[in-house]
Amino acid sequence: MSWQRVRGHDALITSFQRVASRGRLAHAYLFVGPSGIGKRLFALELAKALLCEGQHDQFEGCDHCPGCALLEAGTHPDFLLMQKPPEDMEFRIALMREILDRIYLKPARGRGKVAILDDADDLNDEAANAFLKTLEEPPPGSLLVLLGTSTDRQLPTIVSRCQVVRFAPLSETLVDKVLAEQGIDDPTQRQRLAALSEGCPGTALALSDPALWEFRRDLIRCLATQPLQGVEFSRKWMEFLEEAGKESKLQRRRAALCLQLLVSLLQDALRCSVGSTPRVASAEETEVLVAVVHRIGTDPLLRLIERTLQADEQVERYLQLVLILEALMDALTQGLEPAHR
Amino acid sequence: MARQTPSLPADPAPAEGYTVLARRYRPQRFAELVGQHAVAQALENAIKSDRVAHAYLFTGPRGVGKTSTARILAKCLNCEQGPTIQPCGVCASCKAITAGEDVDVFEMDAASNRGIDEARHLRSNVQYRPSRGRYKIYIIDEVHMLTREAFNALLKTLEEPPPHVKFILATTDAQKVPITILSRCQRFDFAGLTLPQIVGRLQDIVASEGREADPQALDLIARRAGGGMRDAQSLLDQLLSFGTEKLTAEQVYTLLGSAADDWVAELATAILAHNPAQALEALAELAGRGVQMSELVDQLLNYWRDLMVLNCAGEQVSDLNLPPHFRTTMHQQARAIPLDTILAGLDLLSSTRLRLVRSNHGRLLVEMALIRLARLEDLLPLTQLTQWVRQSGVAAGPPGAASPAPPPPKLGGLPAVEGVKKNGLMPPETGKNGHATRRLDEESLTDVWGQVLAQVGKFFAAQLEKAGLPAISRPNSLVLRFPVDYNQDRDYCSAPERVSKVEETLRKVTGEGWNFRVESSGVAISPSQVMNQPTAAAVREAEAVRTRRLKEEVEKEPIIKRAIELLGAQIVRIEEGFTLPEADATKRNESAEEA
Repeated sequence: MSWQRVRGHDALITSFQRVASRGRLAHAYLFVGPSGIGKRLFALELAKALLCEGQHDQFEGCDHCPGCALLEAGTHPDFLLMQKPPEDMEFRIALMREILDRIYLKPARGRGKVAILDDADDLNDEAANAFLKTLEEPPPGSLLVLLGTSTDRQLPTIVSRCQVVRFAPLSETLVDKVLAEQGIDDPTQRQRLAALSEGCPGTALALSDPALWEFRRDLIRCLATQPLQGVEFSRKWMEFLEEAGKESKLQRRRAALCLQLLVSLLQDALRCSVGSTPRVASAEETEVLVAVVHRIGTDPLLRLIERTLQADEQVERYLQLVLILEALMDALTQGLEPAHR
Repeated sequence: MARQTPSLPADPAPAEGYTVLARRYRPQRFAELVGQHAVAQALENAIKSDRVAHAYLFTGPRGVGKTSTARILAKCLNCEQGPTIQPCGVCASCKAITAGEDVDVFEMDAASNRGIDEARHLRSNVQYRPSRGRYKIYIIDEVHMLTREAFNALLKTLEEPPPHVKFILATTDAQKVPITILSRCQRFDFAGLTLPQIVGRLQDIVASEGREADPQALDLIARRAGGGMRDAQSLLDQLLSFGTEKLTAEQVYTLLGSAADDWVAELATAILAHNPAQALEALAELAGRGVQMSELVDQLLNYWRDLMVLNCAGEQVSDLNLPPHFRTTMHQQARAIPLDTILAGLDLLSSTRLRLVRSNHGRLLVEMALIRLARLEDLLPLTQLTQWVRQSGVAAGPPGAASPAPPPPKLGGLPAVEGVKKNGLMPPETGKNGHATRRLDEESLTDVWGQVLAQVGKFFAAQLEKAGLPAISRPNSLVLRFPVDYNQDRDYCSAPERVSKVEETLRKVTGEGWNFRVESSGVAISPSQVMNQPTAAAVREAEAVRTRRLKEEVEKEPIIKRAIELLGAQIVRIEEGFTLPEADATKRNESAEEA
């Protein structure tokens, strides 16, 4: 039934069912794994299983009872999903106070309270510290779930109070299946997306936009020309980002996806250079990449990848997109000149 | 409302039924505290002698018992049988404090009540007497998060609270607490817990939970906890809930997202064989199994750390991360690569580890690290290279004066490099190089001297090394020239027993008898009494004799004599123009130094 919506984490589902049947459900969990792997969906199903009011033996939501329906509609009084507001850069203490206030209320429907804290990566110092005491000894009957990408991004005092649940990447066949269900019919495309996503269906879906792949073809064409017309290409790139929408958030999102495509190309080139097989690139694309490797060699290639990763960090840190792209493409142009060997 | 389900039989509201281990096994008296003996002792003594201070600050890493100790102290003070060092645990006060709902013990979360308003509120309530206990006790946890204004508002109260008030502040971060607060509190630093302490406690818990666990699994958990008992307990709790009946190391690995030791060893072997493609394959396999990249890099770091230790200290070291059956392979690996390459690898891995924290491309970063590691050529340490260059200088003249000529082509070959590496970097090897004797000539000089240095002992070798390479002055005679400023090292090295030690070692290494001499490369004031060969310049000889006589006479001087007897002093230098003193003042000019 409802757990089936969660893909590829069967072992975790079994574990949680076992935990529930033993009556050893802890009060605080920290879910970690790359974004797009299914953490939030899992947490929602966990909440549903806890708050379900149906008559059955399994630890799962029945999807019929009022509890499940309220949860689905996002109006369950005992359920709290807190996210960082999209315009903020961090999860602030004011929001945390709201969670704390609500968690100390008695459950309205009597099945306990569940709070899911999304974007736990972005908790700032004050907010994280304000959470500590409650996280250690929350009111009875409550379950706190933090969603983040890595334990490294949490205070040690937070990690020490939670049970850490790590989400493993899905197998490529499973991602492939998810993509097929989402209506992507081309099997080669599915396979490439699966390889690119590194086991995160969410990422694969985000990358499935055909416009992105059009961009990728341009990018490869650009890499194949000699000398590289970097700055010119960066202008084209910027135009492409502006097509995503007027809001800077949308442009930034698309910039990150484009960079991911570029990184994957360079990554494949790197794999070729040490005699391994490329993961995403097709045969003809591989030829272009091999030519690049021959031109510059492995060490400069490693430096170029570093440079691209740096650009990726800059996008995340809200630097001006035009500047990031121009600087990156200029660095690529210079780095790909054979004289730079 | 609440409903009874067969799967959750005992409790109508399932989430209310279970309390995590870390809370259930919170110590309730001083005797139960693990690893904080000093703190417990001090607090017990304070209670026994009725010298309990009005403000304490507990600080230390997470999960070592700060809050627990604060609650125990509160119970000790407010127990109906008290103040006692053994709270009864059954009286109303004790029970209420354990449950965290006592009317006189206020446990405040300073991180969420951090403003000046809360501090004012506290101040205005402090004056009222406790309602049933002896004291009103304020436990202010996470105190480092209070704002500056709040801290300052507390200062006066904290310094002179009413007699019925006790403050206990607890924090992980004492640096953030203003100095004015610190100076008003008695500070207790809680130590991180050691492995055996954590393992011992975990064993108790497993036993009282009625479960079983492999010792290896508990050891892994304890290592992983990094000194925090709560970390260990959280992990154990999770394993006990998720896992099967018996707790095994395998389950710990799966839960932590670490790779099994075999895989780490395989990955390392591929890297050390300079095979990046194979390393990437192994990485892909591991990633598919859900191994976390940061975990993997940590494990590789441990592996490289073990290689480093094995390379430096040899096979007999005990403190390795990997289980013993990898030891032989690892030892071979460690011997096959120079120390500097291992160190460079460690640097590379640790910088990758740091970058993983912030990056979205973890897998790529690890791939890059693996490729870079596999491409690391064997590094030749700079000191060896300089010696190598210097050696050519020695043949031409004294070191230092030599022009930086390129090494002669004969030395450029690999065997010489190999020799330098072996002897300069490896610990003294009694096996391979100890038995075979080598002819000592211009060509093998670096090599042989390296072996000699390796055998004379570390400290002595360091002194000898300051002079660079020795030169062959005539058949079977070796001379080591110290630069002019190194008189002290030269004197140390030219002591007769040390010279003969070098000669003996030379005989061992070369199989021939060699004379060894220590000289100064500039104007010599060489204490030639140690040489059995006559020095070239008679003038110098005469000078030396004069110095020696002077020295002997100075040694007879009563005050110097006493200094030598009492302190084991040694005459290092007699200043120019020094005559045997009549006045005491001059004596002080002599630099008699403790040996």
